[in-house]
Amino acid sequence: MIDNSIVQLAHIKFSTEIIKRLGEELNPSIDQSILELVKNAYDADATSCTVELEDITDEGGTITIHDSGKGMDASEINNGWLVLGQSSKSIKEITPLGRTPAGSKGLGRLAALRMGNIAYLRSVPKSNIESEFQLTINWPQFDSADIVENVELPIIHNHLPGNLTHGSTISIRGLKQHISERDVRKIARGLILLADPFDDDPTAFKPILRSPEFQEMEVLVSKRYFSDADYHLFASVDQTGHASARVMDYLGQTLFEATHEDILGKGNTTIFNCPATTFDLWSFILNSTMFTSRTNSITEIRDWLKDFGGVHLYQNGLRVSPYGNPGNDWLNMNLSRARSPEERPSTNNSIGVVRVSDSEGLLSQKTDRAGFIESDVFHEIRIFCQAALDWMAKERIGVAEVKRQKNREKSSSAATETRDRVQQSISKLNPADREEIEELFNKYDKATQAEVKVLKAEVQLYRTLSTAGITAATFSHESRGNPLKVITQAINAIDRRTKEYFPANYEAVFAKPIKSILNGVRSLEVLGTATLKLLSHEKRRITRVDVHDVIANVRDTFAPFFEGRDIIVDEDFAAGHPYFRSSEAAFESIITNLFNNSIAALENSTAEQRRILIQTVVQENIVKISVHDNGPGITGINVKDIWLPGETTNPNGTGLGLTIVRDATTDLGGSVFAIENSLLGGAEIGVELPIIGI
Amino acid sequence: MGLAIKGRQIDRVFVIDDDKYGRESSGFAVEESPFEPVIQESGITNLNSFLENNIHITDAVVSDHHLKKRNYFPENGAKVVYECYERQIPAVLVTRFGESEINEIRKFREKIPVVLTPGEFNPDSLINSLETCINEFLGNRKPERVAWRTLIRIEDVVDNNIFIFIPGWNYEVSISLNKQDLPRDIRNIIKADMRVHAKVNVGAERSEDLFFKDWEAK
Repeated sequence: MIDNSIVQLAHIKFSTEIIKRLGEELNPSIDQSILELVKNAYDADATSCTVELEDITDEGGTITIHDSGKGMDASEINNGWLVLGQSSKSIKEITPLGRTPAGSKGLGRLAALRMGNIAYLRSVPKSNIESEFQLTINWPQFDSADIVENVELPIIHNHLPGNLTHGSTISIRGLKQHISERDVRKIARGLILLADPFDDDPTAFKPILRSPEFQEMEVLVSKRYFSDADYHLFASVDQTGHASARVMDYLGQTLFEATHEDILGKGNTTIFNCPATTFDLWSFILNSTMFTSRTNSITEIRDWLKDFGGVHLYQNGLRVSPYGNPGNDWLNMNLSRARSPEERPSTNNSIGVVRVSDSEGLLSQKTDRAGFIESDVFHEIRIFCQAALDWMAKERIGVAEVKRQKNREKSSSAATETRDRVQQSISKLNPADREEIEELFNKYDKATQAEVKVLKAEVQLYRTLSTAGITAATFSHESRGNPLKVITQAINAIDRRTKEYFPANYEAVFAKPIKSILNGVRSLEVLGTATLKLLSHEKRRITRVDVHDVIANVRDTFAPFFEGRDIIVDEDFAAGHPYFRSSEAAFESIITNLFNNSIAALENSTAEQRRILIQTVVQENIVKISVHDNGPGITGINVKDIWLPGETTNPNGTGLGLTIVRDATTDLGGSVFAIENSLLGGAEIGVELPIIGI
Repeated sequence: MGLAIKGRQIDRVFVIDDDKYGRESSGFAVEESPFEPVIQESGITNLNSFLENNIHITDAVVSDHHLKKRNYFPENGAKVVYECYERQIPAVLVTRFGESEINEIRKFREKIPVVLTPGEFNPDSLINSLETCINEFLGNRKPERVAWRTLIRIEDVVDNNIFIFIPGWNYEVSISLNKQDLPRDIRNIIKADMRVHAKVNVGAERSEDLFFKDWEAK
């Protein structure tokens, strides 16, 4: 018979193992666990909070945390403090002291309480200051029980007439591990940084650790070396997602200012989807000459930055770890500095504070309290900070460039001045010495001037070539677009129309010239593409470079040139695919210039068939790449001089191609060589490069 | 004249190009086709109002991609074709493009059924292209134009460029995408060696014909 009667009411029960797991696995570190308990004091509106450590050098010690918060009665202890996984505080409810609760879910607290064998709580509620409530959790009891609910925790009440001080005290006794000096420093640092010590607010929450390390650090943090910072960046995003920024010097005077569009780039009006945020960054130039006139020494600042440097993140006034901890570079400042070191701060030479007013609770912390869940909102904050840093770097580079320009002018006049002074000093010498020194100085002066002249010419040549390159690219781009399109479409129309209107004469009269034009257009297309291919951005990134693939690509790009000049190109490649790490552009510039060199040499060839042979040979970890041709060989110039800038036997040449080959090869850790007459009769010019593998 | 393609009557074809001779030469192929070329001589300041005002006489569009060099049109041709697609107007992009333009076009490629080079553009290819467009409007995409969910491996992220491999398309060819063309949430977290998913027309033969949508990352 089916009567569907209920025989028993069941519940999901939790094994005590769960408590053990949650407590141990969510415990990131001792300092973090203690901070969780201190954050509870903050949420309880405590104005003071003291952490004491006793007998901690060995196992079995005690941690005690006193606070002057609103305390708890039996019901609050039972229905709030002891409930795990649910926050009794809503982030949207501001406390009477105007604090936004950190809103911990009690898991961090569990982790902290599990650090010892016994956790003891004593609380006096503000609403009833004649009552004292006590609770003791004896963890070994849980270890011997099967399920969590089987362990009973009596809450003891004492009525004590006379006014007690409201607040809570938590003691964790019988610590399972000792606390090292390093941990104590971490705890001290965490407590000091917890409630934004940079804000200079005397009423701010200031937890205290009773230990010499703390006092030492407190003195250090109170030093506030901010006025020694060379640059102070202040950037903010308002509630509508619009940013602004300014950079001030050490006197507080504004150096640069930026609107939203200045930060993101002109025309970019994307807004930041994050709560109102401010970002302060104090950046120091830790260079001893800069500090000679300052009151604080560079060592003091370095020590201060060592303990407190990095960019700290505060959500509603409370710090969120690990942002700004040693080794944490959540804004990738060090990476950006490594990529472009000029005028970029790193975590070692700057200190920053990001303050987020998150009244809606848009940022949520991970369960193990190791930072925020990587949500869109968090990314937006990160992107805003990085954009502000990029903007500051750009502005600083602009100023540095102006300074460099001035120095260039100054150094040239300084050189002339010094030269005159040396000459004056020489003229004061006695005649016997004077003559010899004057002669030597004149020789030296002449040699230096010649060197400067060569360098100036080289720079000028590079500039001219760069301009020629840019112009060639622009023209290639332009011609590949409209003129070639017009010719192609027009000649195709002529082709179709002559076929239709003059079918009898098409083959005999029109077909050939139409085909010639189409061939010409195709050649033009290839030449334009070849120029632009050299500029491909993809080739400038560092990657695995396959020697044979790059040579084949360059050869294909040059194919129309070779064809147009009746040059046959042969290859003799080593087995396999030798490779190294570099940018394709660097290796391509070597091959391109070697080909260009051979093409130019072959203009003077009397051979019936012009030939180029490109050969690769692998010996151990080296690939030898040589380009042979059957031109006249190296004549009219000393072999070792072919690598010098400006040295060329070609009246239309720049004399820079082989210099570029030499410089690019040196950059790749290789060497160059040249043989006047080799295999094919002409020159053999090549490079040897170290490889990683085949 | 005119021609009915898949039940749709096409009489006039608008020719859009910022270069006078470009417009004229594109018009040659249209002249030889069954359609009447309508050469858009004056510049277009607002694409929406242009399309709205001419929609009753615009049966189809042929546009170059490069429209911004002169004071002709503030957007490029890929956007023109995309907007036409949104309004179910068959449109063909006839252009020469290099590496720098591939991603400009790719951004809109899902709704650009055909890209022809000037050499490929003739009366026959025009009719075929318009048929391809109308087929897509009717829900019949060619296999190489259908996007499937596939794995994407991020090879490298350098400044604004992302280099990826699509093993389901060709595991040897690296493709470069513009970071800003990715959805913001993906763009924010993307880094080298990461695997993500997106819908890609993996049936495409050439890398420039690939388009991406519905990115997913865990």
